[in-house]
Amino acid sequence: MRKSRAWIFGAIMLAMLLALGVSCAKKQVTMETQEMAADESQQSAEDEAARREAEEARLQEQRAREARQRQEASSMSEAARKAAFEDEEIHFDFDKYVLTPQAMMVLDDKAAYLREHPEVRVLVEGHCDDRGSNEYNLALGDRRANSAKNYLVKSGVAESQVTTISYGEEQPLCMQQNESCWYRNRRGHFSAR
Amino acid sequence: MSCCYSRNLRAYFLYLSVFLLIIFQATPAVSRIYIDINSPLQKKIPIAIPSFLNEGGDGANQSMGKNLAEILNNALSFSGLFQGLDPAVFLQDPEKMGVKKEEIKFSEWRFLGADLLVRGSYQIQGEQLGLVIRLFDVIQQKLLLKKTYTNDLSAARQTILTFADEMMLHLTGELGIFHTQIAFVGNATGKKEIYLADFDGSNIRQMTRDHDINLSPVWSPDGKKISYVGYKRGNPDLYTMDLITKVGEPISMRPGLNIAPTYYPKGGKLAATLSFTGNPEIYLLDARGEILQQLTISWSIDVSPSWSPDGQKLAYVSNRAGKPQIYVLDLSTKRSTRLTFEGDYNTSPAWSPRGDRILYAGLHDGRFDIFMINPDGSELRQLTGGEGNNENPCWSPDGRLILFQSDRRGTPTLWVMQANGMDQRRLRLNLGDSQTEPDWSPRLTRATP
Repeated sequence: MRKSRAWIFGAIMLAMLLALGVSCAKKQVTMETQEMAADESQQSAEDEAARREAEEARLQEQRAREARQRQEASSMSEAARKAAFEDEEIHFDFDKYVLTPQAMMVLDDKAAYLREHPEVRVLVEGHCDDRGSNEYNLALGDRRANSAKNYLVKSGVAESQVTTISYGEEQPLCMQQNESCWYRNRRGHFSAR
Repeated sequence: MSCCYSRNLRAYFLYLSVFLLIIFQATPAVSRIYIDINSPLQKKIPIAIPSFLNEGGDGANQSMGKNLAEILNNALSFSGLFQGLDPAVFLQDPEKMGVKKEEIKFSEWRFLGADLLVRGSYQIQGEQLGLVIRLFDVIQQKLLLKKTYTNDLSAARQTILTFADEMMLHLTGELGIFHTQIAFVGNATGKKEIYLADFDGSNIRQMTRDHDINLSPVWSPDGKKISYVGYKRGNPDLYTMDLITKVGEPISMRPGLNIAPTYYPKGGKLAATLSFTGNPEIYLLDARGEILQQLTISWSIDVSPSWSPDGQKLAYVSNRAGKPQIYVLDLSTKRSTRLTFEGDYNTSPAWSPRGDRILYAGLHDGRFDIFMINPDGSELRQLTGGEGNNENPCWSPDGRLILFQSDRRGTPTLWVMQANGMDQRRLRLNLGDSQTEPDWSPRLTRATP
């Protein structure tokens, strides 16, 4: 008698625990959803603010850079400016031809130089790391060079100033099979003439 | 409360990992070398080729019998269909052994395990080499083939290879590949130039001397021309070289890419990737490079076309889904369907001469390997694995062998394997640095007069 009562008591407790567990899980889900919804709107507002801030920072940086360049230009010789123009390369992610934010910053400088020097012609070379087929990499290098060219033209450089060539994986700067070498080889190179 | 949530999560991951474990154990096909049970000859035919018998004559070089036997033995072994028996175990002195059926002691050859026996004799008269070669079935004690040749002594190798081709025709109903050549890119001079060699890597010839980048050589279907990509005019342009005049003539010098040529199986047309519109698309060109038709239209990269042997379909690489994958264009419906779904990076399709298979190079576990798939997407199998990067596969014209580049010994060199992935061996090319992007010629007109 005592045993069976204890058993019933145990069963009731177990049932209650289970019920609690289920409702707990349910509540958890609904609460999470609400929180997420609230989070999301807050998030997008924050995103927007961050974007504006980043944009503002970028513009400020660009203005600063242009001011610096003007200053440098007056002190730097033309040959030195041209050398600086040719030295700086842009880099791409593996199997990608979209421009990274860093690449755009570099291209902003080049666009400024080319706008100031409409007589300068630039050849944009698209290069790849050696992973993948030679043929696909030729096509990828072509798209990379064109990404850079299109950005320059959109930034006010005359289309006639810019030509492109793809070297695919045929002109590597280094031969090691590691990410830092692959990164160096995935590049856009600019030669002025 | 958070306890319940995380416990549910933990259970979920447990189920997921068990599920994945089952999936991966159930599909091991892509991680080991597949043995093709449909391959016509799984076991190689043991063949004995004793030194050819000298039957006299007045010319010099009276001891070439061993050399003649070796040329034949090497060629037949290269085909992957034969296992040449080691002459050291032969029981009879070839100099004292007859050549006619009644003089052959078949029981001795059978004892050594030979199924076939080639018995040749030669006679040198001045600069002429006379050859009589017999092929015997050791089991049935039967003469299968007897051929007589008279040829220039200097063409001895070509004459032996002609017999090898006729022997293949007799045994398989199809000529062998002993009068074929390969084209490839070599870097031995420090610049990428186009080279040709015989099927086994002998007789190397440098075809371009541009001191610049040359890529992607392909044979015309009649074997009289090669087309390739060259940079000598400062842009990747398409060239065609007549193999007699050996002059590379530009056929497409449009702005942007003029790359990845491949000949239409019938006639002189070719497919190639051009990017003068700003985007790499595949076009059909005539032999002079005039555009006949645009074959692909997309915002993505379309490159590396390979025709089906009937010319009805075209396999190619496109990254229209974000990553390079193999697609097949049906020329009659103009519709492209995606062929490969395994892996994130698949390139270099090569349609088999019989039309029943497509090879490609795919990236997995950080390395490239050669894969084979049916044109309908079924029966994916991996042919290379665990040894370096293996890329740019192409077929022998009989579809029994695959030539590809591999960097398993350092710089990329050319390798051969059977169509089922067996017997992987380095092509003997006496050339420094790297060799890449091979293409196998069709059967060529015999060089012997």
